[in-house]
Amino acid sequence: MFTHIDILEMPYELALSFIWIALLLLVHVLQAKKGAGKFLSLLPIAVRWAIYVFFFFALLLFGVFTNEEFIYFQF
Amino acid sequence: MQKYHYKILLFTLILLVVNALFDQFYKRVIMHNSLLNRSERAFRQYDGDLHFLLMGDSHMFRGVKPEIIGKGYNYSTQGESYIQNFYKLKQLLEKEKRSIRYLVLPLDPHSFSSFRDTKIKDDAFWVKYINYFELAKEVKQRDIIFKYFYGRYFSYAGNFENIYLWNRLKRSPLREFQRGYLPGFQSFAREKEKVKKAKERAAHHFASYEVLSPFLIRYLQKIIDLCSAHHIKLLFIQFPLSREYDEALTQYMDTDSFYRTIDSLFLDHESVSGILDFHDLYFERPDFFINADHMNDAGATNFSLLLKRIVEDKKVRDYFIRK
Repeated sequence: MFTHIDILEMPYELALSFIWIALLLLVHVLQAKKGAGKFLSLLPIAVRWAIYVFFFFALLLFGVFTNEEFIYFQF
Repeated sequence: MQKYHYKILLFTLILLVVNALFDQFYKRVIMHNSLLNRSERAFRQYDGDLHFLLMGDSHMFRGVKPEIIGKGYNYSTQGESYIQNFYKLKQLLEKEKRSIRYLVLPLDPHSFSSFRDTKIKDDAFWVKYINYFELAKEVKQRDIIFKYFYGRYFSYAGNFENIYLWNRLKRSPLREFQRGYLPGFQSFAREKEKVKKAKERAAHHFASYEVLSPFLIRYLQKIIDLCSAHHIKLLFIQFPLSREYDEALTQYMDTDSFYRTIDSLFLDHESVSGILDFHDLYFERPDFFINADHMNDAGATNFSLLLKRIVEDKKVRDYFIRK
């Protein structure tokens, strides 16, 4: 069924998938221990805000808002 | 409470500053060498005549070499619809007061397909031309207004892949534009599965799309009105297609009836000089194509030589023209 998709030929998608899965697992671990909210509240404000800003822009950057081809190759 | 408000204000300020930095980085660095920006820079550097202004999509972009014709400029880009053509032309005529005598546009089967109509890409580029608020009203799609904000303030949103590929390809050599034309060198003749590939291209253009998008018809009408107001003659080109693509089209439309409809809609206008019909010109020349419906450099050279003869000789023009 998925023979036309070879994930090994998409190294950056693969690497990104692993990074996001690792982050997801990390949040799960934190939730299981003392809760992600509690964990964040214990961090210094600068680190906490840096995490919020990172996730805010990661959502914008990696989100799918349109379906476009690479801007250097479009037909 | 005051401290809480101060924190919200400060955090919002940080978001705005980081957003502005990302937005400018994407616009100034990542998009710098995109086809659209390179094409635009080449046009702005051109100081010759605009006796013939060629606009349109990839069929025009890959198909016509003004250097051979000896006149005009190929100001087309890939994937450009009549909506984008209209706003670009409007800016040239009304804001920049450019003088154009003939506007040449493609008029191909896929030119009116809704696969393209309001799905405008690269808003960070188009926001300087397109009035998204007017467009949203015209086509009654309120969400088009969001494209204005993406283009103006969030150009990087959803575009991580472009940043990644830019980093990989930033040292690759870039080919120079020749009066707006950029050559392609692949050959469809080497394609082993021509029929299959042609069917894929036709499906890309028509499967689950309207053949005649009312928005694109309306915007072509607006282009004609704009040309009429500025005393510009309009000439349409039906670009050469491969035989395989032409046959694949029959799955989606009756091409004869399609062109009868188009002729009845647009040919009667005083400012329309006619349609030059070349759709079957290279049915036996797959070596003139990159793929099923785009000419390569050899095809574009041969085609531009024919256009040069058409410009110079009325008899040749009368042979191809439909009015």
